[in-house]
Amino acid sequence: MEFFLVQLLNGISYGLLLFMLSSGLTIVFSLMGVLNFAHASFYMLGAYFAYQVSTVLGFWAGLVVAPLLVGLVGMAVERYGLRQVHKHGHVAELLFTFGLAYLIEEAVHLIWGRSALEYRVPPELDGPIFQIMGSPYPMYRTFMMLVSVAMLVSIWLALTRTRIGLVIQAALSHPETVEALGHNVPRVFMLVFGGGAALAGLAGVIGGAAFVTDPGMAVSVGPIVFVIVVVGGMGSLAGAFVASLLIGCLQNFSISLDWSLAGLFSWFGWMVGPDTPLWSLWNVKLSQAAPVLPYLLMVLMLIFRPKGLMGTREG
Amino acid sequence: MSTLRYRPLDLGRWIVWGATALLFALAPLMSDASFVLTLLSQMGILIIFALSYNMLLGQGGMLSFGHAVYSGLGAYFTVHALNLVGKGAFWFPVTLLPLVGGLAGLAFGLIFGYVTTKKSGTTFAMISLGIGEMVYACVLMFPAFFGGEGGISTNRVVGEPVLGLTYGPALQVYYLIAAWAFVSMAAMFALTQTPLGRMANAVRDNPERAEFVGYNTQRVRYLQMCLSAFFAGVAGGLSCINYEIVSAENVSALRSGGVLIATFIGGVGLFFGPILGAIVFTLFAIALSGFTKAWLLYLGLFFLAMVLYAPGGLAWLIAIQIPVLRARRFSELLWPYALALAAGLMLLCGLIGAVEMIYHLSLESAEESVIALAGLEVDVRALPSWLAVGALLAAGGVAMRHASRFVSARWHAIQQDIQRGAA
Amino acid sequence: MLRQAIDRGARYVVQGQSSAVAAALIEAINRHNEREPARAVLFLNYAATDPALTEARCSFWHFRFDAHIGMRMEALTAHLARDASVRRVYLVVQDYSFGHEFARAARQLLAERRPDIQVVGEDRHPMGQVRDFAPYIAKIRAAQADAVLTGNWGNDLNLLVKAAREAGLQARFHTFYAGSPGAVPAMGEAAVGRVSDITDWHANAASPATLRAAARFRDRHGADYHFARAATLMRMLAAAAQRAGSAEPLRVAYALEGLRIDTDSGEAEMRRLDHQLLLPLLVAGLERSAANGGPREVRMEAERSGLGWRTLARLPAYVSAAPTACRMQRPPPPG
Repeated sequence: MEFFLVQLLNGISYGLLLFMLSSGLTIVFSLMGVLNFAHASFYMLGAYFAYQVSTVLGFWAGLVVAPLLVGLVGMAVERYGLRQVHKHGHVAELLFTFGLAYLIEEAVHLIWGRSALEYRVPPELDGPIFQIMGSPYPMYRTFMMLVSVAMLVSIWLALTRTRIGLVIQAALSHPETVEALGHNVPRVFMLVFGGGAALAGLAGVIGGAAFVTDPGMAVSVGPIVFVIVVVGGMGSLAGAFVASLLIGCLQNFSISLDWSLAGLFSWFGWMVGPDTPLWSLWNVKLSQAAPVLPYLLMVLMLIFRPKGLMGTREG
Repeated sequence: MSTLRYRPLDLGRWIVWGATALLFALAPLMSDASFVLTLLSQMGILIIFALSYNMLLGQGGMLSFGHAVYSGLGAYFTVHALNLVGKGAFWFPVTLLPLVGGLAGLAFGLIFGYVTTKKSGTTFAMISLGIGEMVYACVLMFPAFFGGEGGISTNRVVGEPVLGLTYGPALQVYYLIAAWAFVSMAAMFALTQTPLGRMANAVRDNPERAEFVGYNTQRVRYLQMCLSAFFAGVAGGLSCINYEIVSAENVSALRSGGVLIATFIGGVGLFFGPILGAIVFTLFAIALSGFTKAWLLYLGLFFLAMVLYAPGGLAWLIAIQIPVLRARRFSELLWPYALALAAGLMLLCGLIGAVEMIYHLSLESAEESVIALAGLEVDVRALPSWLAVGALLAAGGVAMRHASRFVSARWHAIQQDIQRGAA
Repeated sequence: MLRQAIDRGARYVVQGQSSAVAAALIEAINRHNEREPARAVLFLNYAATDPALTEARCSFWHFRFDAHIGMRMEALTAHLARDASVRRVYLVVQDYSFGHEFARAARQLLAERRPDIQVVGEDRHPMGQVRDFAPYIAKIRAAQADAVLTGNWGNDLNLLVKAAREAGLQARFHTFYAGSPGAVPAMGEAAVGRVSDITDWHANAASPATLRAAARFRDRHGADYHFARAATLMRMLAAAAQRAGSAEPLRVAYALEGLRIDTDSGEAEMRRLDHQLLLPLLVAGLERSAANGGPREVRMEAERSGLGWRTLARLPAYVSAAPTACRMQRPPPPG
């Protein structure tokens, strides 16, 4: 039971971090139709900026400043890059962000080197916060969950309750009308893209300290975030939320289970041993296959429910 | 845009293909350094791979981030076939081994393509990425078949020599690659002329209308995908014979990204674009990586510049000059081009200077602060060198702005004249 | 790459990275030396640790200057055999051939040396892809392990140790790679008293001469001195060239066989049978440095982290000298 609770909390906190990442991507995609391949690179930039700020001003300043900086970078990218290729269509935009991801990774190599940085959890958040039946639960993970939930609530409020949110939603469906009403639609898009980048940056500040800040961090989370967006349904924020939690928990629980197909077979009374054909396939434990599961989930989703969990449109 | 011409003998086409064959045959004579042969072999393989990629991106409008899956798995099957032949399990000429790779690629194209081609556009791109990651993880998970991260090595000199070919010497391997590259090029070109190739274009440009005419767009994409996977597998098989090792790197996202960049730089809109791209990319990857560790950065910048300013790729840049040449107006563009080139060089020098200096400071941090750049000794810790680089960058930027305005003004004037002449 | 280097006339290849690359290099060099014996190339390996390189895949043209997995595992289990407090062991490895070999060797040697130790779990996770090790730690805790043996390196090791600290796991981590560049600062305080490493050298077990060299190196390059092995390699190469009176790879190779040399940790010998260097190994534990309130003998910090290595046990070369099954093909000796 204790084990189950700990794994559940681990799954939820990891899922919430994934949601912080995927939310920015989903918002940008649903509002602008741009799939930002460099989204994970903004996540990485967030961690690196936060590290740089934290060496001078400490962790808390980094938490505030780094996402803003990443947001500015995002706005510059939109203004001077994306807007130029917009006329060539969505594939060109995707290619542009793909090249950008390369460039950001190389720039990080260039400036901060290739090895991991010493970007750590601040002492205030270090250590256990409460006990679950005897096992201490780390404070930082709790903090991670809080930030993520706070972010979810504020995005929702910003999009539905504020004036700028309404303008953004209107610019999505009726850009000409909004333009005619005197709003600067390109500027709205610039803000949206910057905002999405800032969200990724925030995730980077949190995730970089919790896990590791190195030039490989973008590549390692990028594909998972895309899987989440596909599984959740392209452009659906609620879908991304559910898919993030689902994948976070899926990965955590599958790691805890040492089941394999060979075990399943022997349960049915079929004996499979190292001499059976395809033995290495039957012998793979679920815990070993955990990282492949999100992709399998994506494939299954595409076969049985192509529009994703909460997607509204196909295609 | 090329138009269909039903002429029994297209002389121009024969000349082009004949010249290509001759080029393939004569290329190794350029120099007898084995380095050149290594380079040419890699180019040949990448040409097939990039052309197969363009069957998706250029002809079918499908942006894939996981194309290395098909070439890599093709290579794995080829390496096993080669090892079995080596053990004497059955007899098969090495010359035809790339076919094994091609068939393996086709088989996986049939399996994965069924899932990926359900969608098009951005969703297709993401799914292809996911499939690529999945296959990569699986390759490391099953060392019995894939040899783990060490991969599987082999020896291409097996069996009785057929027609005196042992494939021991690199020159023989080059000609094997060249022959396969030539045949694949011809086959892929022929495919663009078939109804399927035409339909793929239609599905790319206007899926709704294609559907309306009675074509199943998903099936067209699926077929195109499978054929493309076949040729990717052939490329994989050749790379297995060339390197005599196949490892997880062969299916990695890095490979997939590489072929995407190569194809795009060359140009997706024209058939010969990817060939050009493969040549440029190999030069970047092999020649430039010998000079500087920042070659990936330069490649990335070059790619971004192409996306921003020349989305048709190098092939397009060349192709748009042809009408101007025909109209005998090219000489008017020489001066603006020269200016733009000079400005570009200035910008490039500044950029290279800045990048190399930062790289030196951050990575090597060695005792020496003086580096040699193009024969100049530059002190990376001294202010003057930074000022010089900054000045170069600024001046280059300003000059580029003016030069590009100059070029485009002349260009538009000529285009208008040509159009008026045509009308 | 190799082809390029040979094209340029290189005759010695010094390499130290993944065993995959090393295995490919050995194959390529064997082929090359067979095809062109006049331009033979010698491969000096200072870090690839797959035992197969000096066993099934051993080659006359390859010399290894690092202890392979089997040898390190011999040393680790010999050390564990003396520690009565260890009863339940958990294995965490990366899911690739090195990790599999690590786990296999650990199970086999533990069973030989301490049959009473129970292996309570084994996890194989994909290399370099796991960001969140918390679920693995929860599993280790649930299995009530008191020692974790891990072949992880790089981020996979750092993240594992950090996650263990976050979750307050008390088990000790026995590693092979905690001494690699970047590992100590990345693990940080999380590793104090929790991580030990099997190594051939660390700064607090160095002779004064090496310490001076290390200090010079740090002043010049601003980085720690790590690869004492590389220095051993170069010294042995020089000694062999002197003994052979030539820089001809074939002659040098014969001179390297059986060559003995003194290292900071004791005497080492290049075994003729399989070209594996038999070298003394150390078990080192990570502690706060003396300047940071730690034990006095931890004078040198690892990469300015405030932490340093302390020798827990010294194991002479014979402890880890595993038997070999290598049968190499030897070219005829030079005249």
